[in-house]
Amino acid sequence: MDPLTIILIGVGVFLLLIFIVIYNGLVGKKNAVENAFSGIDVQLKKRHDLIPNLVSSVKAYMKHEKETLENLTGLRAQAMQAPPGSGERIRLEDQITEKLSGIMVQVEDYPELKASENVLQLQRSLNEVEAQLSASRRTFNATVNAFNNAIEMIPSSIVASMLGYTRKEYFQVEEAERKSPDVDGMFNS
Amino acid sequence: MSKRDRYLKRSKSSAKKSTSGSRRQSQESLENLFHTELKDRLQEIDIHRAQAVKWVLLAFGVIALSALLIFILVNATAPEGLFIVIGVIGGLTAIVFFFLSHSANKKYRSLFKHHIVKEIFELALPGVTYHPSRRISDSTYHNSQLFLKGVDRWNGDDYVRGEVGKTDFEFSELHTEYKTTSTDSKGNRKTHWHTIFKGVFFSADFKKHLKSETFVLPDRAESLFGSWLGEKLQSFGSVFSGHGNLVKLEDPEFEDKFVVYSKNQIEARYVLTPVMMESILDLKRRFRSDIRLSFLDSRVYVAISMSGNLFEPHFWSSKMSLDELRRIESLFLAILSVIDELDLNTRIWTKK
Repeated sequence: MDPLTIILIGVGVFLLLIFIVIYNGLVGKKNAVENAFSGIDVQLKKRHDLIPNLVSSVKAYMKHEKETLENLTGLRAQAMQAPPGSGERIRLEDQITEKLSGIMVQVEDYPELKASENVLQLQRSLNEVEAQLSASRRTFNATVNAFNNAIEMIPSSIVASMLGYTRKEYFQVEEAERKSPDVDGMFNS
Repeated sequence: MSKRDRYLKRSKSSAKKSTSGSRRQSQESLENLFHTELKDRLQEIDIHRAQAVKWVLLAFGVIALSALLIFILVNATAPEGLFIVIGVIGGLTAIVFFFLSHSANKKYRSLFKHHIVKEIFELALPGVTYHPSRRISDSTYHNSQLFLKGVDRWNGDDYVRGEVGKTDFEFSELHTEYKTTSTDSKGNRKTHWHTIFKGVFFSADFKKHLKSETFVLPDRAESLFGSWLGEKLQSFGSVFSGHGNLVKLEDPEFEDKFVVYSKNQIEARYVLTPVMMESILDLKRRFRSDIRLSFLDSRVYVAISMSGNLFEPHFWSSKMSLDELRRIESLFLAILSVIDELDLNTRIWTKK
């Protein structure tokens, strides 16, 4: 074999190896995003499991909030039907977050509930799920960031365009949660 | 920052305010205690220090005198045997004096710790246990997994154990070393000691249940090589470090100062909330030194690098002043502030 052929084969094998490494890296990053998303889903399911307990523990006392509690149960049922990751599901979960934190604030007005060991335990479980949920969201965003970086940076961007990979969306925290309380507005109204 | 984080930040800042309030209070009571009790006690203890200083000065005096005698005799051409006799007698006397000084100083230090430092600690945190000559156990150090290098020599003292609210804690001064031996061209073997860690080693109950392990270590790679190359190096290094995979967090300042490894990406973020990252940065600013943390088995371990011997009395200068005692107290409170800073007493999650 003449030297030129050997060099050409060498370069070819080298390029193939680089391609394989980059390809596997990209697939790994894509799967990490999916895996992180399932982490969020696990926590959302845990939260769904807590809702019936919460409703049955507080409804005997919270007569005025009957509507809110029914609303929450309805939202839970809808969210369980909606496909994971869909826009509708995210919207429903956001509403659940809002309703739950509203109920938890209301609980403070009922001394019987505040003293109940059962409610306290539920409160702890909810805090736990919310903390885990926030960690899962941040993990998801970190994997999306790694994926987006990989598909935009050279040389992995070349392989990514061959595979047809496109940017993934970050998990946005709902608007209400991000907005700081409008203190001025409270006093002026 | 989420609503919860803002809430926690608020409750934490009010907790901090209350600590600084109690600190002022405890400073006043330290002043009271100093004037009513400690001042007299210090005077009693100081006898031993004065004794130790006297013995040291005597030892130096004997050495100087022997040297002077030998110098005079050399010029007077006295017999050689006389030099040796003077040298030996002078040397032995000096050794005895040094020994006496050492034991008097040991007594002084021990009395100082048992009667002064102990009082200061108990005043700052009632119910605290203090063992001046004990240290953090080998197993606590190993459990933390902060330093994976094998230890050949352990040193440490000033062990403190107690509870703040629902959080039990312990800490002590600790110095761990490993040794290497080298052989020079003449075939002489020489042992070298290398420090693994020197400073305060702190361990406390953590507020959340943990299933995995998370490590927060000082970042060298990113500050040296910039964020992109540094990150690649850290990620590569994590394969060998035994601390798990690299965790990239959102806070740029935190990322600049620390590198995080964990075996569970979600749990690392469950522990290192935005508020927690800010708190760890605060601790680093407060101690102005390297800080390492590990979170595992539902405990937090904090290794704060510090040089010098802590909680020790002076040797040469006479009686310890109120300011010196205040310095001991504020170091103690600074170490305890880890509990406030990491907000370990907030128990709103499933762990009670």
